[in-house]
Amino acid sequence: MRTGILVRNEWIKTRRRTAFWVASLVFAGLMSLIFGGMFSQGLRKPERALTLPAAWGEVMGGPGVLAAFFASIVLILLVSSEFTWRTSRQNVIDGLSKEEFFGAKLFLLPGVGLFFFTVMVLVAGGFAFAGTVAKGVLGSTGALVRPADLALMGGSIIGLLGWASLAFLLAIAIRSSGSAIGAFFLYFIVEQILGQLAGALGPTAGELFRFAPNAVFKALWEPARYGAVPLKAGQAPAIATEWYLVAGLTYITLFVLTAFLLYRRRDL
Amino acid sequence: MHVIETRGLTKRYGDVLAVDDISFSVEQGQVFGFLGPNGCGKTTTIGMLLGIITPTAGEVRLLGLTGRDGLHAARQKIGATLETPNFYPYLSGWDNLRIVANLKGVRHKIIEETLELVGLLARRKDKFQGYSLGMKQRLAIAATLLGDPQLVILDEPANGLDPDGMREIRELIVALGARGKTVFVSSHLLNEVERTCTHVAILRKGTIVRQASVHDLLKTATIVELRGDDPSRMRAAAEGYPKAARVSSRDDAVLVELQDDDAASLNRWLAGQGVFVAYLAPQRLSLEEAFIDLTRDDVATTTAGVA
Repeated sequence: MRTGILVRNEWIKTRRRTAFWVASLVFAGLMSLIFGGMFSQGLRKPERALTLPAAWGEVMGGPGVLAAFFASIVLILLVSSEFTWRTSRQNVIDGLSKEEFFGAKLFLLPGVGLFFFTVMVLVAGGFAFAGTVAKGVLGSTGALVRPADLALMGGSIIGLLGWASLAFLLAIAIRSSGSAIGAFFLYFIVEQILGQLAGALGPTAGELFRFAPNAVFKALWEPARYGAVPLKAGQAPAIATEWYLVAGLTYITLFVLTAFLLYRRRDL
Repeated sequence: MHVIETRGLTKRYGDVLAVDDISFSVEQGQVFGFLGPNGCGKTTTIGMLLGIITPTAGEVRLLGLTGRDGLHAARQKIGATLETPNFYPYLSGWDNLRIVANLKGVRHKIIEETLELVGLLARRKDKFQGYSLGMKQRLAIAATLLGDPQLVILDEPANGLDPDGMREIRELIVALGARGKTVFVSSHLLNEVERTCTHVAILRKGTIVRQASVHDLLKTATIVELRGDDPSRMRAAAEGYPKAARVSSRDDAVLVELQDDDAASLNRWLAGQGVFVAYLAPQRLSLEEAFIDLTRDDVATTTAGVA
């Protein structure tokens, strides 16, 4: 696989794509509004100030999860348009193997995912740092990032990649951005309804749905699971984080593998 | 050497037999026209040649290579477009060609030369979506030419072009042929094929009804127009001529389709039968007439595409 060439071409395609930059700016603006609002609220009510390192739990457990949805939608736009414009086919005619083309698109999965995660961490971290300085507690509580926060970020990245890999599969399978985005959100509703129906059938069926993809990816963003926020009494996670990590990584592998098999056996 | 060779190539989509047991070959240096009405299986066949559509049955050899890996290796030595020009609409012509050049391992200096060849150098920084259809077609041809390919495959390159655009594409194809390149061009525009191609295969409802050089195809169907005092006697005598493939009448004239192009022999035969003609004129069949003759059932579809 000619990795250097594939990455270079994906960079040419992505950096000139208006939709990518518009989504990035909207996301950065939204994050700035949310965390800027929390910062200014902290100036008025110091007890609610956004300060480090405690802010990481509030960020990941709250608005930070939007990074996953922006990354998933952008990924759908970048991948499915290759089929709409038939450039997927032309890339193969021009000399790529099907595996190389799939690999090139697969680079986007962590690339786009980590890009939005980084934007979120920088914006949120920036306002939280400013809040820490404003409150005059900088350095008084030890490190700005604790091991528990790093574990939370690691788990959240796997959760984000989980949703993004579902989006990736839908983009490859449906090959139309509008329909794939629709199917992506429809999936959450369907999983929610099925989970409730299963819960009504009995505790075992309900328990099984705790391992449904969306439930797993969501659970990986819970700060309490990593000790990034204090656990409330009687709210210990029912399922160990290790299990969710294994399930999350399994789903990512399954989604990517299914997308590959679908793409490989299909005529272009 | 066979640059393209197919044997028993078949593609079935459910109940629809899109391509039915096609076997043909293209030699090095030929400008090969793949001619047929819309929907007769041309694009599907090209897709199978390029290895991006899996045949239901049969075999393809491209530059002597076959199989999934073989066709992948062959694709790196050819330039091809399929259906409409497929590029990133938000990228400039230059950036689109940069992507192709990176894939083919071509230096960026060559992009400039190729853009100049197709007359797009001045518009290289404009977005593809702002190009006219003719410019899009020319950019597609430029992309196929990057990397000095041994074989160029063009699918309906004159589609949607105005007469000037069609002339430009025609000149480009002829120039490629003159440089010794093998060119495979599919079209439903008979005049274009007749004016650019050395060889032709005529496709009808997924099967090849004829493959020959354009010269042979037209030569084998010489029609002689006869006029004289007694058309009915002239026709009866012509019908008895051993090398007459078909005899018909048009107004006062009798049309004799010959199995060869020896009109003098027909004249001697008629004289021998006591029929003396006042007018005898061999008419070279146009590709259009040959095509209509070979794809008689599809005439309605075909004539719409005749330029």
